[in-house]
Amino acid sequence: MSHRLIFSLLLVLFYGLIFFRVEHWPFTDWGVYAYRYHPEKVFVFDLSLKDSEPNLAANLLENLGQSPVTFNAMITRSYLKKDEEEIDKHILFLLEEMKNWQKQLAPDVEVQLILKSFDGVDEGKIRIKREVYKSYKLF
Amino acid sequence: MVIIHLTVNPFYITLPYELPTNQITLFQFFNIEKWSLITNKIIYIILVVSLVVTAIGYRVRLAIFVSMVSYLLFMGNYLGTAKSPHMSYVWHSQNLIWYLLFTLFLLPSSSKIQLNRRGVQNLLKRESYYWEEVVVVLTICAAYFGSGYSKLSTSGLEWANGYTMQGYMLQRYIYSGNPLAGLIVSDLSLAKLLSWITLALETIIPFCLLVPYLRWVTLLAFFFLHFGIKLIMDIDFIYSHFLVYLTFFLAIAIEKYLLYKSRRQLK
Repeated sequence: MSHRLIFSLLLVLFYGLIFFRVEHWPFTDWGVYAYRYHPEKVFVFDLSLKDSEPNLAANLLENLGQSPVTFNAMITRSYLKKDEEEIDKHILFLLEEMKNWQKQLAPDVEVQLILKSFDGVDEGKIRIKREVYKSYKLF
Repeated sequence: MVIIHLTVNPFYITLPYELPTNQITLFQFFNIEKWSLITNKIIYIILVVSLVVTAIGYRVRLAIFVSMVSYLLFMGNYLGTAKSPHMSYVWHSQNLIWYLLFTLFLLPSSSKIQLNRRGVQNLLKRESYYWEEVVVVLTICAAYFGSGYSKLSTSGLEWANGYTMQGYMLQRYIYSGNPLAGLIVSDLSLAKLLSWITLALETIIPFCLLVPYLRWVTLLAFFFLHFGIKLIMDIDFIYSHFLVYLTFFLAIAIEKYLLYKSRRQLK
């Protein structure tokens, strides 16, 4: 293969796919942080256990082996589509995993899907608003 | 460097069998089902062995080809852990390694480095060397340019208005309570400054790697970029990205130094 051909092929492949926004690995989407954003429109979902053992409730997602980023990518997409059924499906999948913790949990334990958003800055301190978006009974 | 990266992170082998996964779109397209843990271990061994064979200079092109294919399979399987069933997106911190393996596989020099009785012999002619170096550097630049270009094409220069950076940092602050992310959220000027630095580092500055005199300053700038991303966003590009191509530039520097030394001895 001539040098010019290899040179052009590689450039077209690596740069051409960027311009065409090919978003499949190994030519992955580079645009993950590409969207315009505003702090007032930021919201983050989290899972919590109501009135439960603090050790279990803290970092509940991580205890379930879920990265908060992946969890939010899934829930946010369903939330923006206003697809409540899809949100329930994601959460119920995680609740199945939590049933293994039965001995450590109260029988009436409630799992809450929390919506966190920006509430302003006070003397350099960030205030976060926290509201229960949905509740699920585990048992 | 890739061998070290793979061997110090054994979770790449086991994590797809501990977490729910969704096959990446490439595997879905070819109907590739998730294979067993034993098969994954075998692919991992093939990958590491082929990289070692490449590093010692034995049948280099064939060894690079085997590592390229096994890396695609092995990392593709791992990235299934990060994929939502509804999106094609997966993390992009691992693909520069594959880009570089693919580039090295096509370069003529790959067959000019041979292990024989006299040790590793480089049968390369200097004149054929420079354009290949340029191709490798442009491959590295693509990883940065892709990020910068997609920011500008999606949001334009408004991406650098400071609010966007604050928004992403706020998200990170809520996830982890990171105080540095919090600092950027509470200071719009700092967010604006960091946004412009990010855009420059991703769109223009990578190409400074082509200029020998600017190369090491550029590398230092990228080290700080990745170190900052690691500290603030807990996203690690240092091992799978920065150190991988730093090895390439170090190898060139060492080679140039040895050439300079041997020429001085001849005089």
